[in-house]
Amino acid sequence: MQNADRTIASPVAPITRASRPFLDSRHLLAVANILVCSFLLAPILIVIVTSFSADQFMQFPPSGWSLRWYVEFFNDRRLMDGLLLSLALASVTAVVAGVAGSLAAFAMTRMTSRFGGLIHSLHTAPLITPGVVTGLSMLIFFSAMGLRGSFTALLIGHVVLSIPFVVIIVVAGLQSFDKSIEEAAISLGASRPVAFLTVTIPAVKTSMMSAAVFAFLNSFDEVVVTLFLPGPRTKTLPVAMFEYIQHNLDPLPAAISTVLIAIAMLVVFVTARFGTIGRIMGQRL
Amino acid sequence: MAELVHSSAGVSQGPAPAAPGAKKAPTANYGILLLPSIGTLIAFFIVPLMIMLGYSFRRFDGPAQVGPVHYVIDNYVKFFTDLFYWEVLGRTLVVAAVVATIAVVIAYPIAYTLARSKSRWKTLMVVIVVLPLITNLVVRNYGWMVILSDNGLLNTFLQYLGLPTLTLMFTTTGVIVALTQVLTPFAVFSLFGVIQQINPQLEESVRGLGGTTWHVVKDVLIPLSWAGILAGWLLIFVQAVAAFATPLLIGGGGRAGQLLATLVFTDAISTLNWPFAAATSFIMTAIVLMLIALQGRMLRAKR
Repeated sequence: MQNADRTIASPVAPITRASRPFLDSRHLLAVANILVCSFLLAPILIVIVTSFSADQFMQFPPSGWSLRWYVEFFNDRRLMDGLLLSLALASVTAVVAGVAGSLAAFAMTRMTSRFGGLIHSLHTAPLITPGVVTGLSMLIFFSAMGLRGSFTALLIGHVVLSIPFVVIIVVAGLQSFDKSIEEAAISLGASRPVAFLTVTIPAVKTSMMSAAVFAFLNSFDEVVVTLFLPGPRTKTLPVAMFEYIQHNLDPLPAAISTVLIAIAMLVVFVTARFGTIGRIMGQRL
Repeated sequence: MAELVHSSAGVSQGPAPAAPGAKKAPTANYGILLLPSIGTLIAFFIVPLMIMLGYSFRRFDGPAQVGPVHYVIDNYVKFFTDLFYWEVLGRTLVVAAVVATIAVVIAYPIAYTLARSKSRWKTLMVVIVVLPLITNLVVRNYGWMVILSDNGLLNTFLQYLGLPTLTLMFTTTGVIVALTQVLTPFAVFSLFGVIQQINPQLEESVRGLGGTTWHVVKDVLIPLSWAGILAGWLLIFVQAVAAFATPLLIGGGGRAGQLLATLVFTDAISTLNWPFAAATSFIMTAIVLMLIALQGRMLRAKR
């Protein structure tokens, strides 16, 4: 604040709204916001627009509009297999990681253990470990186990990567749950497991649901570790697309992308209805 | 990552809380709930990392590593004695630093607006900021390929304006542009928190005393949001160092695509030199850990 004092040359009257120049800092801020938002949106919007192109090759602006690339996508056997694999993998991951992570979250918020910090670190470690490190270690490990390129390897990898999200979200839900309600049930004669199942679980059901949804989305979008576990049975849709765009630049991936964006938006919309998106973001970052 | 080191050290004690203690009966029950996730994480996360650590000290003897096991430090020596790897390391750090700096600068106005304004555009802005995070990594990169390629959107536009075209695909600049877009949201979130805690009356009083916007930024906002700036910068730097899909797709097989993380991937998948890939990824992790430790020290010194 001393610096601010220095700027007073004369007893200037406070700048009023009317005396502000035409292009003041608020306008600059608005311009900056528009520019940055456009930058963040650009690749996503471009992809959606391109997906409706009628051209054989990538060009801008498209010379005509059509749904031909969607038709091509839905008629491509390999890509459809990839989509089904992605959906199946994400569903199983959501269930497995959702259950294991929720159980861990319950334990972590209830027990007092001197290993508490360690257990928490273990459950968040896959989130902060660089993807290439996790990917390479799993490649080496699953090759040694003879599981390289199998669905099992992929599933285990995705479960490991999704557990942290589930734990973080469910822990947050449990922390906002008033534990005395459960204790009231116990003092009214319910046994601990009954109180847990009939009082606590319904109260944090939405957290558990959104955690599972997050795990689904995380698995559905995962490419980094998946790329390290190559095999004919591990070509998820994002990985198939990754390989495609390394060699081709036509509007087909745009149609795939738009479908992926639509699925993500749908899932996020559902999660947002649970009202936990803010909590997820706040916890994750 | 710092926590990771601790957890690996305590692997054997992992399920220990489940051990029955006379007075700790409820705790023991909760310990059982932890078993599925702890079991999964130890067996399929910690153990593979340990195995990989072992691999990083082995000599490369063919794709399947069938030869007799000798532990040597050759891989680490190779990394630090070959100028090529120094160049890759340098490029990785420069790219990550540039990305982190640009991201924090362009995130600031957005974070400030989100923290201060009550505009009806706010919700839309939040959606736009979150969108890059929930968009598939491959989709985002494909979008950038469409924009940046030689006859892509940007060059078509430049031609239309009669300006010279730019080569951005397969260049470091292209990689920086694409990485910045992906990582800027993280800067917005870490800045948002600290800006919200700055009392708006401080800004008012600087203005009331005749200070310009520049004084508000220089004397109030930057000093008081320094912790968020530093945290956001580091968060992005760390992720940029670890990024590999974007450099691979936008940078291509040439120099621009040769960063530490892509090196690990190529060695793992193409040349199948797992020992060296393992050593490279541990060097990468060590750099990241050192920076996190440095940040902790800087933040303490600031207080």
